[in-house]
Amino acid sequence: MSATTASILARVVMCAAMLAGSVAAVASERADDRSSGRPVAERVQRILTDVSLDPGLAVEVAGQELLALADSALPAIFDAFCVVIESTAASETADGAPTNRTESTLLYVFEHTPAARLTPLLASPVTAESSVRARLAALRILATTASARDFRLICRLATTDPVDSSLERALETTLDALVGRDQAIFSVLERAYPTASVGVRRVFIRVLSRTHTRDSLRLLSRVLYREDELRPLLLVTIGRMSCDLPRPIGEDVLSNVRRFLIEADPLALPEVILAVGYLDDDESIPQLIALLRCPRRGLRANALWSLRRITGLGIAETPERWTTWYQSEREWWQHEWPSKLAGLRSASPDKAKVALMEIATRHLFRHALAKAVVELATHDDAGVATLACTTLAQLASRAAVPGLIDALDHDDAIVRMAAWNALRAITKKDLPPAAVAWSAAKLGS
Amino acid sequence: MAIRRMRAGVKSRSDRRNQSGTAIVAALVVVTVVSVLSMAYLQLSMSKNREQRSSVDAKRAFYIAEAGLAEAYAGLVAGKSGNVGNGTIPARFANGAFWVESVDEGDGRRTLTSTGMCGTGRSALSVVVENVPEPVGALGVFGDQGLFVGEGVLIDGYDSRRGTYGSQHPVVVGGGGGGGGGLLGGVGGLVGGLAGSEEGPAESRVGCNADIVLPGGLAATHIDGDAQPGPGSSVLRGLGVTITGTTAPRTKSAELPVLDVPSLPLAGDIDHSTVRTPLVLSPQESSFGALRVRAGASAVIVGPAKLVFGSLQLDLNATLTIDATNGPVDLYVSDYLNMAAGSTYNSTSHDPTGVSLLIAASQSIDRNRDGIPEPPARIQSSGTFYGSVYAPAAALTLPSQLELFGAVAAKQLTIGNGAKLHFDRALCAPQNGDGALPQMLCWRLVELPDVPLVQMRLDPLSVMELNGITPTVSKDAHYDNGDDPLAGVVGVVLRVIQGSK
Repeated sequence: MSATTASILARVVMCAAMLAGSVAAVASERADDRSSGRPVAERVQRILTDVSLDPGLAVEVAGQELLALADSALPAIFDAFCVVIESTAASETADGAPTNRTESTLLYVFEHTPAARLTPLLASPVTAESSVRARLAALRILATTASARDFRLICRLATTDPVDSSLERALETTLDALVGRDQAIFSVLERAYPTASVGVRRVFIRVLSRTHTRDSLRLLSRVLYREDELRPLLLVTIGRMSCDLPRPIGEDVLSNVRRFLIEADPLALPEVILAVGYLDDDESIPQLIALLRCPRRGLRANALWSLRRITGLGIAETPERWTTWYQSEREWWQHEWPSKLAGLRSASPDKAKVALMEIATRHLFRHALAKAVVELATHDDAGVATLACTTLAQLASRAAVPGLIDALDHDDAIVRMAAWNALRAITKKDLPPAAVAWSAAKLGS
Repeated sequence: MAIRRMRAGVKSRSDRRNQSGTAIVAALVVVTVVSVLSMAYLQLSMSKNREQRSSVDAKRAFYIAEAGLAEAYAGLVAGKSGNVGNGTIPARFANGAFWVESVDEGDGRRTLTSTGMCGTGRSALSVVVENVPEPVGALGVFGDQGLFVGEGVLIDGYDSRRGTYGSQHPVVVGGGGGGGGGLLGGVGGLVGGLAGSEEGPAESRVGCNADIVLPGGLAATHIDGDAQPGPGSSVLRGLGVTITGTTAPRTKSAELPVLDVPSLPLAGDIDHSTVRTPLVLSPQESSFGALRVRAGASAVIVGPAKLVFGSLQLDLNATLTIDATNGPVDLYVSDYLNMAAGSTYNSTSHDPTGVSLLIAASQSIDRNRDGIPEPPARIQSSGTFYGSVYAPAAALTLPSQLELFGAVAAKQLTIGNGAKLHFDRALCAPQNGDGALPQMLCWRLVELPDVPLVQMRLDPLSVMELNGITPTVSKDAHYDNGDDPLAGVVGVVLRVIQGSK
């Protein structure tokens, strides 16, 4: 034990010695440079050449050396970064990760430069008649260093007239990084949204859509009413994002979207209809049934798609049948649901089974039903638990997925089998009957 | 003694007198009993007869309902909706009548419910049939991995079986709605699809297994019909984009079958550069290593022909004309297709089902050694082309100068700004060896519908005759949803029948 510790200590000491040696060597060279009176740009270039050619020279060491140069060296370092960005543009990775040691060194320098010194430098491409290259470089640096406070600067850097697609891509990368780093960006982004250009707003939407969070979904639904031109895109994004989020979706989001269905927004009605379907908004069913009588075939077909998605029913495009079904379901909820809920919560397994069998035939508010039923999937009584799993499979709600995964660990083999079957039916995925496998899969519940 | 005899004689005479008429009573009783028995027997016999007739009617009604299902099935195969007659004016068949209702259940399934009537017999049967795979042409305008529709594009539809495009589109960009054409334009589609209603032009079909992107712009983009992205994908449309049909995602991805290039006798290479004399490829089935039509030259391919080209190139100002007047022309390109800008590609026949450009090419190769690889297929020609273009392994861009009547499907499809595409719904019809019959999934007896003709239990033909209605014979009673030939008289007839009830 002590021998191992000694060995580790020896290695640490060796590394420290090597690092110190490197720093000393570099410092001595720097002293030579100073003494020789070389221009700053030249010294920056020399360090960068060294780091690119000498794999033994650590990025951190070279970075520290650059940082040790005077403040006046920052513009030269930034210029060098512009050149690097241009040369690496073709091989740039999708997530904006550095592609070579020179770039890594320079990013190290910017990461360790105080904001007070860095921000004016990065703002310079906005104020001056600067090239796209400088803006791209500034955005690349901000992707690593920025916080929500830099949001305005980021937007100004990305906005040019005419619009430059490479800047929009850089903006997207920067915002992607920022959203993952600073939650304050959401409120900043919402405030900035109305005044941003169409291109920038499109980038905002794309960035938020990739976060797959409820906060982003709420934000997108809130800006809906402020948006005209991109409203169809917003609605499509909201619909697609919601697929990965647990059910039920928050009422605030639903009402923000439903509003455009009720008002029959002429700008984006096809997208609104599909969005309420994706959101599984049961409250929009009356409007959707009414749309089945719309003279526009496209809207009728979209409404039918949404109705089928929300309810899980395969009724054809017959408004009368949908109306009859909806009325009967509403009546059931009004008159029968309280007693069935009491049955579910009753201590008697028989009463619970009766309630479950009745619930299995329902299709309105099926996510709410699933939430109520899912507790019984892990019931001590194997009969109740099995029937609960079967009922959940009938309801086909993703809200039941976590509860069904828990049921995979039930003591009774029949319950486990029923839970597994239900999970496969709901998710359309064929995973093994092990809770670990289902938990690991991103099912979006 | 004498007195006793006298008394006896008197008594017997009076007895006889008293007994006269009893025979009549007895006879009457017997007659009555016999009559009652006869009546009872008659009644029994008549009842039995009625029962037998009723049973025979029920059996006939059952078989007529079966005949109705068969008729509807035949209609589906012929590209109709499966609706035959209706509950008010059924279709006539033998000494009875039937009608069939066809309901689209989604996912390519359809329920046919047939009600048969004969005398007092009634029977209702139902089957569920499933769609058969449609021919590739039925995909319409389709991109497998992506579909980008530029600004100012017009994509609409027509049915070459019903006449020319011009006759079905008196105004190029019609109003929304499209007259409810394309009954099966929604999710799935059944048995080769349908032409649109008789009232309006047939609609187009635009589809993709991924997103459909229509950025729009100043010039209006108009899709008259469905634009269905892949499962979980969306239609991303900008301002100025109108889509009259559904934009709901497809329920499942469409497979683009791999192109099977036939092995045909090799006929060498052709490099045609003579400007004055056009190259004419007469009807044949041959394979060419290459066909290149040089600048200013022209070539004509006359059908029926099946030709395979390793590479097919049209240079600037070159012209390739397809003449499918006398038979179909199938052109396979296995390696490289390049129709340069300024070239012309057109067809003389106006039947899109007769011409196919099938591109199996898939590799981008630097052919002119300029350091930039050329894509496997490039169409930059102008002209008016009737036919279908199929490139399952290549990205394709259709330029604005080429007006296409037919269908196009590619791995990745881009419709250039201002392009015009007119999808021909005749391409939805099953081709020889290409379309199987719809599959029957289940059969069952169902409850009789609540319709006056059914509930009355009278001979349907007599009731209709009484009301001055002549039912259509079954083979002529097919109609499509929203296109009921009897719609105008239904209300009147219903009242008449209900009145007679």
